[in-house]
Amino acid sequence: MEKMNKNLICRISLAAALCLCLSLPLFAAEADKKILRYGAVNQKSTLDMQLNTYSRVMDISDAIVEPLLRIDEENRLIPVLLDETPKPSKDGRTYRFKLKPGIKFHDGTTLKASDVQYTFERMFKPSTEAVATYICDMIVGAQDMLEGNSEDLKGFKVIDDLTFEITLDFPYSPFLNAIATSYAGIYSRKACEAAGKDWGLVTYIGTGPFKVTKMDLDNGVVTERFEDYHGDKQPLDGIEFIFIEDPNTRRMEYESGNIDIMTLDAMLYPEYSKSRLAPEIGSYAPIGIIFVDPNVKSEFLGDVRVREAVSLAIDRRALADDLMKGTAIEARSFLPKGMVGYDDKVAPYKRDVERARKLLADAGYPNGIEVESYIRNTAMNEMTGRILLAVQNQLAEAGINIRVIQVDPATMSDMRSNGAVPFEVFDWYADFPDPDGFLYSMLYSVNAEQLTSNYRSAEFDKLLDDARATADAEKRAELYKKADNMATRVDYAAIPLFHEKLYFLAKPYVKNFKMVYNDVFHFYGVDIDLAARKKK
Amino acid sequence: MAPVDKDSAGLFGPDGLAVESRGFFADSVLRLCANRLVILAAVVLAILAALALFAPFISPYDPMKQTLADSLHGPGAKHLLGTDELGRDILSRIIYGARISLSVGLVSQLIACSIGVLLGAIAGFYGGFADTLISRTMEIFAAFPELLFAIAIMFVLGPGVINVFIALGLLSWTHYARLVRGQVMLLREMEYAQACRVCGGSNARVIIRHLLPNCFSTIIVLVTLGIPGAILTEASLSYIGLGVQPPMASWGQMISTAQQYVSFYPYYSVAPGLAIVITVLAFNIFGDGLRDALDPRLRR
Amino acid sequence: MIVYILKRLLQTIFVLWGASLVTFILMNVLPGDPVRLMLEKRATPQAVERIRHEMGLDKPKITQYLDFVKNALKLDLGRSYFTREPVMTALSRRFGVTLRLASSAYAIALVLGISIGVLSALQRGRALDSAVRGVAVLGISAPVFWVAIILQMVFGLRLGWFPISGIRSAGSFVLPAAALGLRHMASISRVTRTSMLEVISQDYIRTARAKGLAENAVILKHALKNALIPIITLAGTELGDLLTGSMLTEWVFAIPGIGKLMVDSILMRDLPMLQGTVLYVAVVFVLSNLAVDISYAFIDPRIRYAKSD
Repeated sequence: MEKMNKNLICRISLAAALCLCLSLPLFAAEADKKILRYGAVNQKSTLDMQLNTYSRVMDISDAIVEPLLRIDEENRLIPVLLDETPKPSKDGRTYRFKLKPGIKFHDGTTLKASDVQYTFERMFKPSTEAVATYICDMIVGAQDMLEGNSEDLKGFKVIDDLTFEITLDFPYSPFLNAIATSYAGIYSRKACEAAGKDWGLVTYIGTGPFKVTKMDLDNGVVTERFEDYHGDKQPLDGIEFIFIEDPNTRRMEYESGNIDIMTLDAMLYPEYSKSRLAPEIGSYAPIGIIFVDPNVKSEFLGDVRVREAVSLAIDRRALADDLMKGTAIEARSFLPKGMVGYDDKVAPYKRDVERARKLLADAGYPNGIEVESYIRNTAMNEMTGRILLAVQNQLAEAGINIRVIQVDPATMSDMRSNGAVPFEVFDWYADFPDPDGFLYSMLYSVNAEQLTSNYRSAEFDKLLDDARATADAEKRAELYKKADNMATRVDYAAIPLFHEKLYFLAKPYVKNFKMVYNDVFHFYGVDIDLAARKKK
Repeated sequence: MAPVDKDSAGLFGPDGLAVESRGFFADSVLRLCANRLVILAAVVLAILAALALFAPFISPYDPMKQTLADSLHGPGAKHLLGTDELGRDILSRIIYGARISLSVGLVSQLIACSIGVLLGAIAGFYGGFADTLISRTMEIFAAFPELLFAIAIMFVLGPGVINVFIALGLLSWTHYARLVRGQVMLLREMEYAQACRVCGGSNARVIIRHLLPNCFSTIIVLVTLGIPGAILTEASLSYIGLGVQPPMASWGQMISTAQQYVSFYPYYSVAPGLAIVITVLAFNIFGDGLRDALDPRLRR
Repeated sequence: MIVYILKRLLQTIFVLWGASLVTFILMNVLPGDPVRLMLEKRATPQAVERIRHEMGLDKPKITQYLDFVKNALKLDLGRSYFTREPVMTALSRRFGVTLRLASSAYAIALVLGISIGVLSALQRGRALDSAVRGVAVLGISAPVFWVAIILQMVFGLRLGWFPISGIRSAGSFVLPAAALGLRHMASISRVTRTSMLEVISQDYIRTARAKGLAENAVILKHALKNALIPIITLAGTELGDLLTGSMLTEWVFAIPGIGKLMVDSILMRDLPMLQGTVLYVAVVFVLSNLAVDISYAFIDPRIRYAKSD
């Protein structure tokens, strides 16, 4: 027997050795370099920001590719590739841009106006299959290109190597904000054309402070500092974007010190704020809104009285204080505080279950109603799921019974656009800090049709159309105030719940990290205190 | 995913003589009772069944009742296993979860068993084209991603607990078919089956009177061992959010939610996990015991 | 026999074709449009229509399927709708990872499973047997994702012995292989035990003992050798199982393997990628089944694979 046991041990250790050999390291970490390890979410997407809309891909893309301008943490426009922020012409339709001279791409070529032209034309060329064209499809000729009627962008005029002009169909005041998003990152014509379909997969080159050294759709992206960067020299030697799918696993990796920075789900903030990790939590207020999206064409919610009843039956205070443990701000309107068009005279919503019941009875449902709510299976454990369950519980008290049904993401997006979702808890973060990115994107009839609410009001649409084309800031704000009130307090086409705060975890040795408006992680100027890290 | 017991894969049949007699089953029951572990498993299963049946009387709270201000409390006198992220009583949710798990196991295996035995017997007995067709279909089914089928079936049937049962049943018939096919293939060559045929018995008679009864113990064991498999699959489906719908309590879903709080409230993950382990373990031990008792090979 | 094998291999083509057709039909019947998903909350009707056209999704379904088959015969499975990566590239990269995970888990399952099974059979009815069988049943009774979480918690976070996730270092495969191997170990040890019990009561073992051979020699040379056949049968199926990837283990440990790839492509309605993974799984499955069927014939000559089969 003894001999056999030895034999066994031999074989087991042999197997263990085999296991180890099979799993040779893929990445080698260097201890003395200032490499920031970011626990990234794998969106399973190309990095090409013309082809996806994920914030978590922007985290990576923004380190590599830069748009002409950028919006800083105080929502100001900062010229990046430009000499200065351009002013619109008198009619508000034409902008003249001047590039900073001598900006280098990672492949050593110099940025020219023709690269910018190429980037915009590529966006509107149908064969690109670009998804975020809506941000600036008011450039003259963009629609023609999208429809395949034209090969070039008429509204884009190259003056010389460094100067170009963009003309719009109508005076769209948030235009510069729109092209300061990641969707309008400037590509190198030469490199992009050479890469073809591999752009963003194998090759991704920009003017950004970091250049790609290794990219892999499964494991992550490794970057190093671009020495010829046109801006300030970056303190970091490189950034590793490490894909970790499961958020719990990601947190464990953070706790054991294998990653330096990551997002933290707001639902978990209360627990973390009581733990030893409390000093490592950072917070920021993204410009966003969590709201209930009732389908105005569905059976019960088609009646505005029922929608008002829903709004009355919700206890926003309890959601913000008990569910979100005080990490959220009760919503009074669709637009968050500080945004153009926010009305600070509006009173907070009050819960009134009795009145809700009465409204239901008036609408002909004295015994209550049952409404289906759909949710992505992947969102059930995220904040949206928790909110939905809490709202479900609150509404039941007023006789509004919500039946929650989980479906996979693809089914969900299909049902939405077919108008088949009667009730949904929705979260939205605007692409750029402007009310247009809120009310127009979510509630303008053409867009609302594709989402859940199916809201269609000629009056509301008119307010937004007018606001889009108004250059005068005060008049614009007035229009947005009216539109917001109409959608949320008259038609109840959107039932605002709260504006959330978002959180991230960053090790104490990560210095100078600041979040910007739109929930994208930017690492400009971030530093690592090597001595502090070594101590750990 | 089902931990189907592959060692009785039609390799060895019963002795072939007088299997269908009272003495065999009486003897089997005796043998079953002789094993204390199996008795323990049976008792555990009985308790679980009682919990599931009488959940409304046993559970201390309404499993859906939220008290947002009371969320994520540790175990204590008020809530024996603590509360979840929405302030619901975890113990009550586990008790109600037993309903889902047990019925998922039973119903889905009955469905799977009916389909699998029928097709397996046909394939094994007739061979030739029928076998090729059924075997290849089995392969397509088995090679196919369970999840895709589950989504497809749930889409066709619509969401709902019953449909989860049906989906799981449709997912696992191949296990039965494969084993029954193997065993029937072997048995049809046996003297008594040949004899029946020589005496002019129809094919159906040979299958129903002689072959299936001889597979009976295998099938019973498979069902007993298939139930825990189905329970685990339901847990996995619910874990990724495609099983039982909230706010209904399911153990798999509880684990998936609890996982978020694993660093601070480990017992929240442990409780539903243990519930699954205990249930599945009891079924497995009971199934094992049953197999030992019914398997004439081990009868010495 | 050779004719039989050739025939089965030919039938494989039927299975592959069937699997791809079923996949195609299911994906087209199911709700969910990859383009809408891609655009998410920013989908306008014009954009959806434009991109569908560029991707060829507005062509008749039959044309789409025939195009797929035509290209698949040339081993070109197209590009993923989402990542835009060639499906073959993704598959081969993922296969490497799955292979490493599967072989580590398989090593654990085989070595531990067989040795535990043998020990348990030799000690039949004693405490060791009960303990070992208990562990084995426990192994197949715990949900793999739960075991995975517990392993991560204890050995990854608390003790810090092994990496928690990913495939970045040598030790990364230890925990997932353990989580995955445990369940396969359990079933292998059960079969080994049964099979060994069967064999050691046979006459030739008694003869061997009577000849005065050492106990070890009897067990290893005679008993285990003869008991191995059903174990190999099972092991073939298990290897097939492992090679098709384990979605949940891969999910929890953030391992980019085949299992996750398949689930992701289902959830995203990424048809080309899904076709690729389904075909891969079908090939592995059919081949391992064929191996098992052939071994049946060796084990029991009464099972014949006649020409008519």
